[in-house]
This record gives sequence, structure tokens and C-alpha cells, in this order.
Amino acid sequence: MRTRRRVGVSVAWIVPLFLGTIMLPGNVRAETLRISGTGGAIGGMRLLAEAFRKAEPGVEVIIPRSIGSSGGIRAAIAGKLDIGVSARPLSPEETAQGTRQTAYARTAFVFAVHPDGKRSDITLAEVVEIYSGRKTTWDDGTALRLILRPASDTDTITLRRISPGMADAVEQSQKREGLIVATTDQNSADAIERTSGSFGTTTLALVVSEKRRIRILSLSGVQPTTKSVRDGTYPCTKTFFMVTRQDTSPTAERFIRFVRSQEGKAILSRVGHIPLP
Amino acid sequence: MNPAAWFGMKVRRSMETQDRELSRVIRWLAGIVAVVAALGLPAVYFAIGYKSMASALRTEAEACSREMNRIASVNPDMWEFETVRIMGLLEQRFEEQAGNSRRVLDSRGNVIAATVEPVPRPALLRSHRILESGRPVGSIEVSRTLRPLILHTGFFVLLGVLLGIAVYLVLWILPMAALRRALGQLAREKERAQVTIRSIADGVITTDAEGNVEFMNRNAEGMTGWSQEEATGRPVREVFRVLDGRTGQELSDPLAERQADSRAGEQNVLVAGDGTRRLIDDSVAAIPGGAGGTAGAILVFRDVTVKVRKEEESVNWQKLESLGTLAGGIAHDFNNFLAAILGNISLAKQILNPGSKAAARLEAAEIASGRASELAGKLLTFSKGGKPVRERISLEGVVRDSALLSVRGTPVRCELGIAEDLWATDADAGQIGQAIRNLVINAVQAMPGGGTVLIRGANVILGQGEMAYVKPGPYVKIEVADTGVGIPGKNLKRIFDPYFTTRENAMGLGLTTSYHIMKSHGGNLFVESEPGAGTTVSLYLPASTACMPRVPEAERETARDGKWRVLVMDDEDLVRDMAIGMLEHLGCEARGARDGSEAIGMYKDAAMEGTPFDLVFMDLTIPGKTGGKEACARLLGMYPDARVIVCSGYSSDPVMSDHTAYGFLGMLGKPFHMEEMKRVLEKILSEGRISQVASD
Repeated sequence: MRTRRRVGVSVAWIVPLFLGTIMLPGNVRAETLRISGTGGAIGGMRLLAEAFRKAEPGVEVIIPRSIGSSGGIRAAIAGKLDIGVSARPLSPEETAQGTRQTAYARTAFVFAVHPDGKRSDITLAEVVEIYSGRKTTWDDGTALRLILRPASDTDTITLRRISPGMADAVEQSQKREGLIVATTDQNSADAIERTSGSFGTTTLALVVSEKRRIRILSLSGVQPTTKSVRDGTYPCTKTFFMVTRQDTSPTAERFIRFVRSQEGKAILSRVGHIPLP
Repeated sequence: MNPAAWFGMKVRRSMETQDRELSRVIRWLAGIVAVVAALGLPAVYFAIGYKSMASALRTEAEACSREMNRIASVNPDMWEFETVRIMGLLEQRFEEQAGNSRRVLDSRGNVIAATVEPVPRPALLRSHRILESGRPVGSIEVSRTLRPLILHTGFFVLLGVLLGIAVYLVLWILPMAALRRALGQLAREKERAQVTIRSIADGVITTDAEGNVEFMNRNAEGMTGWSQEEATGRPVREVFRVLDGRTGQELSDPLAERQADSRAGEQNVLVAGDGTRRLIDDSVAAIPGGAGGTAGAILVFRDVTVKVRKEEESVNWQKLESLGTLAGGIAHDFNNFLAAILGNISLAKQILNPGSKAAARLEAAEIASGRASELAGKLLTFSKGGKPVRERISLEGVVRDSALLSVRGTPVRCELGIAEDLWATDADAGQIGQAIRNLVINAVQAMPGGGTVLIRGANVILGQGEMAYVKPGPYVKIEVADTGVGIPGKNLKRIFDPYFTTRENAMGLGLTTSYHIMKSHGGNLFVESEPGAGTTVSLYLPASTACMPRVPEAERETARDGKWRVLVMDDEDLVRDMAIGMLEHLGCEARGARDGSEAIGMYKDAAMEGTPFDLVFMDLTIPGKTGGKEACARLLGMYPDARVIVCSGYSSDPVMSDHTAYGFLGMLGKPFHMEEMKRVLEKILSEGRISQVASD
């Protein structure tokens, strides 16, 4: 009986000492959260990360440059990213690899021109003309420089889905030679911003969150805003997803919860996103 | 085998051998070049295509790798997940078609991005490293299938085969045509040269550096008794056996001794294979060249037997003329003196008593004077020759009667060989019979133990200068041959001298008288003798042209001067002129034509002018113009009686071997010489219009 009591006393001392040691401020290990993916969502994510750091100072959020939706998904699957940000839903193959997605916001998929451009509106018929190569100049006769996206990019996929006519026009544009091809959302925004007479696609979220000097065109008289998107008057939108592995870290889980919190949604709303419930 | 045919065949075989050899070499060369062309074209195409493709892929990989280096450097931790950027890079200037592929691999070899699935084999692949801060972090592979290149190469293989066939045909046909032209030209030149060499009157023998016979012309064959075939390769001393003209000793090395011999104007004796001896003038010249400075020697020799005989005859003739004049003069004066002697003896006998001793002596003197008078009469006959009383006779009967009469009662048998078609002669039968008797008696006396006198009669045509003091033309030849003791050389030169005899009870006037009888008939007499072997005396009497069966009445005018009109058609000036020369030498009137059409025209013109040609010689092959075969057919179509002889250097030609089927009366293989030409003419003359002639 005497021996049993001595063991119990020892455990009572050792456990608090161990817990105290590991919880000392100088010994607290900093947590890292790596987030990347589609360029259209990077600007919003940086703002969310900044707010999350303030909420959880022990967490370091690293957001490398955009690697695209597919790259973000693959990196998340590979464990290189804690959270991949995608502008498209997971494919069945990607889901089968133990991933899950969380849709967190929508934004307007917009047509934009150089900030010095004279136009402020465009119709879908004109867009078809431009992509099919039948319209190569602006109304004042200046050159219209189409900024293309790669065939596998979500912008191109979104365009194709607008209408069969648009899909054909996009198909023709992929075969045209000498066009500027922007490989990422940031490249596309850069090209629109810098190229005189440019015409391309981007997202409202990117333009607002990165404060780009780009003229966003209204589509057939409808201005792309969070309001017009929310009420459905503006037809072209993109949805952003956060992709994680099934065994994601608690920190990542906390970040996802933060994004979906009121604070997170408020941040997104300010930079062209329409947060999803 | 006919030497001309043999030599022609040898030349042709030599040319054919060269032709075959060169043809084989050209065929091989053409084949090699064609194979090289056939294989080279696709091989070059494939090599250039492969190198070009490899270079393009390498450049492409390097360009892509530079872009990938930039992507990796900007995002070293996550670059492999920048699929969009990488795909954008890979799809830049990328021809998306089957067989092209670009792939980006990480350092473990896992595929990060690829345009399409790896291309099917065979394929060409070039890779380049992707560097991040100088460290290799992956690689980019650019590959392209080789199937289109192989497919195109296959197409070029087909083109190469066609090219090879074309090259083969061009390289085969063009050089062979040129070669055949050159060989044909060479063959014609060679044939012309051989015809020339074979046509010259001298014998020609060429030897190699070791002194072995390489070539003999026809005259050399005739004089030595060796054919070209037999003599080729044999030491020249075996073929060309020569006795020194002064010593009679055989020369052991005719080439060396003749080259060293500086004597001029002296003849040596050539001993033929059958033992026949001829006096020859000869010369030897070295052929420069070869390892020892001499490639061989050329031996040229000429039969001067006839020439020497003619010179001897001339001397004999002049001697006999002088002797006859002297004998006639002496006999004339002697007869005058004898007349005085006999007259005075007669007067003295009248004065004396017939029973006295002096009368008996005068009687004896008168008898002796009578004999002296007979001798003087003979000398007068010898000197004046006795003019023959000519009439057209056949010699067969005269010869037969005289010969048989002469051998009667002797142990000698007479064998006659007189040609049935022996031409007639215009002669004094009595004198001819006397000449025959003299010769047969000499033959009988040369064979005291008995034997056979062989008497032959034949028709011959003598050419210009062939016999001294005899005109060219047709003759009847009578030979009287015995197998007696023969005449020693030292006596042979004196046998025509009056009163020269080696026998008892002989006056030595028989041969002299026979000689004069022949001369008075426009003929001649020759004696050939071999001590211990016998003597042959040959008489030549001019044939009566009026009685020749060859000359029909209708064409009498053409032969009124005794000459045959012969047309020679040959495109080679040298051969044509030579044949014309031969015919003129044989007493014919000859003209020349260069081709068949010209010959037919000349024949027609001559027929219309009433002086038709009696015989036409036609060359079988005239390049580019009417040859003998066609011309003969056309000529016989117009003049069925025309007589045509075909001539050609191609003795193996079917027309030559079966000339009668083509309407030719005979054939004459080139090269030919005087004797063959002569034989052809004799055959024509003896066999008449419808006879057919063979030269051999």
C-alpha cells in the first residue's frame, strides 16, 4: 500500500511539470499555414490571412504566388499546401485521393480592358466576334488586343460554358497565332493593365483585392458588382473553393472556420466576393 | 581453215572478248553506281531528316528549359504544381499532332506535365535539365516520332530504286553505245590494216621479244608453208628457215643474223615447210618498246625467184640470140665453103678414075662434107628459129601422140593428166610436137633404169610481170616431169646453151630448140630441177581467146581485146583499188563502185553501151548504203545472167557460208591475194556462165 501511494505522488508531480514545460512562451512552436491556388482568390486570401494572424499570433500564414486551381489542388493532395484554393470543383479523381472542398465565395467573371480604353460596355455577341477573330479593332479603329488564357484554365472553361457560340469562338481563338497568352490570373491582369487596346477576362475579386488599374466592362448594360451577382442580374460568375486533405491540420480547420465566420465574410465582401453561407 | 577466215575470226574473237570484258566492267560499275544512288538517296534523306529533327528537338528542349528554369527560380518550393504555367509553356509553339510530345519531369522522374502521351516508337527524344539556382530539379523532354521520317524515307527508297534503275540504264547504255562505236571503229581500222598488210606483195612476220611468231600475212604463209595458226608461238627460226645465199648453210638465228648482215643485193634461200626453196630478199627491223628496249621484230621478205629467173632468162635469151646470130653467120659462110669443097670434090671425082685410091678418099671427104652441110643446115634452122605455121589446135592430141611416141621401146612409162577443158591454142602442131618429143626424150634419158614421165596439162592465167617475155593473159600450161637424176645446180644455168650436154650420143640442141619453139609461139619454157629428185619442164602457150567457152558470141565485142570486164564494189578505197590492181594485173579491165546502188547503175550503163561487165565483185557489208546482198538481188532481178561474187571479211556470215542461196556464184573472203583472185577467175573462165565458183 505504501509503495502504491509513492507512485501516485510521483505522477502527480511529473505531469504538471511536463505540461508546464511545453506551454512556456519561449518553448511554444510557431504553426505554419501554407495557402495558394487560383490567382483570382489570392488577393482575398492575403487579407483573410492578415486578419487570421492577428487572431492567432502563433500561426504563420504563407501565401506563395498563385499556382492555378489545378496546381493548388495537386499541391494540397501532395501535402505541399495546407489549403489549396480553386476556382473549380474537385473532379471525382481528385476527390478519390482523399480531399474535400469547401465553397466559400463567388465573384463576378468580368471582361476588362486597358484603363485608357474608351469602351465601358460590351455584349456577348461582341465577345463572340472578338474571340472568333472577326472583330480586331475598337470602334475608333485602334487595334483590339485579345489577352487569351490557356485552354485548360478556369477562365477559358467559364467562357466556353456561356454559350455554344462562345465555345466555338473560344476554340477558334486557341488556334489563332500571335495572340498574347497569359498563363495565370495575375499575368492576365498584368497584360490587360499594360497592353494598349487590350481586352481580356478576370474576376471582380482580383481587380478589387489587388487594386488593379483595369477598366471593367458592363455586360449588355449590367455592371458586374457583388449586388448584381447576388441578385443574379449579372450572369457570369466564378466560385472559389478551399481544398484540404481529409486529415487536414487543426490550424487549417480553424482558418477555414475563420473564413466562414462573420469576420471573414465581411473581409471578402469588401473585396468583390460574395461569401457563401 | 581458210587463213583469212581464221584471222578474221581471231580478230573478231579478240574484239568480242574485249567487248565482253569491258561490258562486264561497265555493267559492274553501272550496278555499283546504281546501288549507291538507290541507297544513297533515301539514306541521305533519312540522315538529313534525322539530323534536322534532332537539332530542332534539341533547340526546342533548350528553349523550354530556359523558361522552366525561370518558373522554378521564381517558385522553387511549388514550381512543380504550377501546372497551368508549365502547360502554357509546353503548349507554346507546339504542334499538337500525333507524334509530338513535350513532358516536364521532376528530379525523381515523375511526370509533372505533358502535352500528350509519349509518342509511339521509334521516336527521337532530346531532354534538357531544369535548374533552380544551379541545382537540377527536373528535366524537360521533347520527343517526336520517327514514323513520318521513315515513311518519307520509304518513299525515297522507291524513288531511289527508280533513280538506280535510270542510272543503271544510262550508265549501261550510253557508255556501251560509245564503246561499241569505238570498238567497231577499232575493228574496222584493224581489219583495214590487216587487209593492207595481207595485201602487200611481201611476206611479213612479226615476232615477240623472245623471237616467237605472233603474226604472219598470207604471203608469208604461202612462202613458208606455215599457216598463221600453226606458226603462232613457234620460234621464228622453225618457221622462217633460211639458207645463206653464198654458203648454203642454214642461219641459226635469222633475226639476229639478218639484222647484223649488211650485205645488199644478195639473196638467201627460204626453205618452206614442204621443202620448196625460194630465193628471197629479206630485211629485219626491231620493234622498239618492252622491258629490254625491244618488243619484237618485224621480218619482211620477198620472193625474188621469178625475178632472178627472169633475169637469168633474159641473159639466156640474149646469149641464145647472140649464139644464133653467130651460128647462122658461121653456117652461112661454112655452107659457102662446103659448097666449094663439095663442088671441087665432085669435079675431082669426074677427073679421077673411079677405081683409084684417090677417088675412094674423095668419096669419104664428100660424105663428111655432106654431114657438115647437114650440121650447117641445123645451125641455120637454130639461128632463124623457123617460123611456126599456126592453126587452132587442141594440145591434148599433140602432147599425147608425141609423148607416147617418145617413150615407145623404153623402160619408161608415160602418165598423162590433161585437163578435159584444156583451152585451144593457135600453134604449129609440128613444132609443138617436136618440142614435146625433145622434152620427153630428155626425161627418158634422165631415167635410164626406167620410171614414169608425168605430163600434165592445165589452164592458167598469168599476171602482169609474172613471167619474163610473156604477156599477161590465159595460157595453156604443159608440164613434163621426171623422177630422174635431176640437174646439178652448176649445170642448170647452161642447159639452154647449144651443144651443152652431159650425155653420150646427144647433141645438146633439144632443149634449146624447144625453148626457141616456145618463144616463137609467144610462150615460154622453164626448168626446175632437184638433183636426185627429178626435173620438171613447164611449157606455156598462149590460149586461143576466140575458142574460150567463157566468151559467148553475143558478148564478143566486150572481149574483142581479150580482156574481161570486171566491176569491183567496195566502200573501202584501199581494198577496191587493190582488187582493181589485181584484176588489171591478171589482164582484166576493172572498174570500181563504192556501194551497191552505184554498182547497179554502172552495170546498167555498161549494158546499154553494149560493153557489159562479165563479172561483179560485191562487198557484203556497206555501212549506211546498199550492201552486196541487196545489190545482188536487185541486179539479178534486172539481169538474171549477171555473175556476182560476194566478198567479205566476215567469213562466218551466213551469206558467205551459203552464198549460192543468195544468188552469188562464189565467195571471196577478205583479205585475199592474187592467187585466190586468180583461182576465182580461172573457175569462172573454165566453168562458163552457169557454173558456180568457190574460192577455196
